[in-house]
Amino acid sequence: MASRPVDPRIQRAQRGDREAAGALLEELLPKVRNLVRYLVRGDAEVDDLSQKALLAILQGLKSYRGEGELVSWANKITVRETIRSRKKDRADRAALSAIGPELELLSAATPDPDRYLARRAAVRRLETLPEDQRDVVVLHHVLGMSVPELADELGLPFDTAKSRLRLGMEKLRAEEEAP
Amino acid sequence: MSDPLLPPLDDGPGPARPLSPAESQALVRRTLELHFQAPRRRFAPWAIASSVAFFLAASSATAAWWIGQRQPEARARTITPPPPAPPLPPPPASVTTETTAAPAPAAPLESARQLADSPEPPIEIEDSTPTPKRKAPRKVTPPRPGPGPSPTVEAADLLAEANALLAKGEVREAERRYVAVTVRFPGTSSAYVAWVAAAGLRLEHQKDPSRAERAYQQALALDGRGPLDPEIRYGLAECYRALGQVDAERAALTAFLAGRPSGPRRARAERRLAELGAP
Repeated sequence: MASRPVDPRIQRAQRGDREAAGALLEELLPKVRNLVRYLVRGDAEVDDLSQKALLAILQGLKSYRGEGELVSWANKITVRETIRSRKKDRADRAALSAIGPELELLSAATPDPDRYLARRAAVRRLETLPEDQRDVVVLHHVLGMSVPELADELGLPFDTAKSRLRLGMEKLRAEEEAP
Repeated sequence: MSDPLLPPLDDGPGPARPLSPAESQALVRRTLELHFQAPRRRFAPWAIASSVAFFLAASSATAAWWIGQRQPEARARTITPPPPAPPLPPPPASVTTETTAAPAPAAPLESARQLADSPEPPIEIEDSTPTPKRKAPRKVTPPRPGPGPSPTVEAADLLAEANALLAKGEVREAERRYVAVTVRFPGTSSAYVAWVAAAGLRLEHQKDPSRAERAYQQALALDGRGPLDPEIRYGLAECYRALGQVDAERAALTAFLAGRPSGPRRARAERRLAELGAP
């Protein structure tokens, strides 16, 4: 893929300009947190894992050469770091309990409470999936990766990725249709 | 590719819970601190000693609360007087905040290390007041360099508040104060101590080894060879044990023993390592 000229602000951050790095992180933070939340069960670990992802993004920034959008590059780093850091023990502990009452969050989530609630409902459904299915579903539907791309990203055989995606979506639909 | 069940990632809100602008800035600031300053950071020895004293105060507060829970009848009497606060080396004249890194002379660092590794000090529980005002840690705070409260004093106040809350058994509030120290004074020795204290609470009181492990790792990221290193390594081993991560537990115990600790934890660590066997 051809490289494009790197945004001067990114270049400054790559050279170690703290202010530029801070501005970049502030811009990336909302998406990083949302992506982390799509990938983990419950809310409890979102900020810890987001910080790890941001740190990994900063540490890897020098390797960014403008191939593709910075956000896409940062999304991949976030996925890798989150999956790497995720602990299996959490399993069910934080799953549904941490969804919590949503009403108190609505004021903070405005100006678009409907979208916010739709996304909270989406992650509530995702909590029902095993992590391996959840990962492929999120990478495919939330990040828009093709099956070959996500198989490559997760280090999976193509057929395995495809099968997990199918099983995951079947479960999600069943969950959606459940009374 | 998009499915109505799963909205794509865009600039819209959710699914993460919303953060206030201040919280977002704090998270970014912490990340920047870790990135730009954390590697092999060494703190000024007086700041370390001060913070370690607070950590010990926190340990005392935990123990006081614990004993208070188990032995309510003991509240009416003094168990043992607390030890005097450890002497502090004077702060260097040029140091104005504890974020200023300075080479750590061997002697003060060693004494701080011994302090951290020593058994918990005896605890005084006052008559009918399970939450004694812990003034002792304030005595070890270095003199203010100028008018107005310094970051050190503010951090010390927050740590003292946390310790007092802990003594009252308000574990969750205490943890919030410790985390507040890490947010408001990122990259400082106070943050280092606060991470360790928060980790201990998460592990022992909230039974949450996963979050405790993260807090210990945050402390390690701030100072990989700090005065509370034995506390961190042992705590990490306990986290990994609770998480069933045998290899990580073995590595943490080995790192703990490599610091040549003394006291009962050493024997426990050796015994556990033998139980785990070779990798």
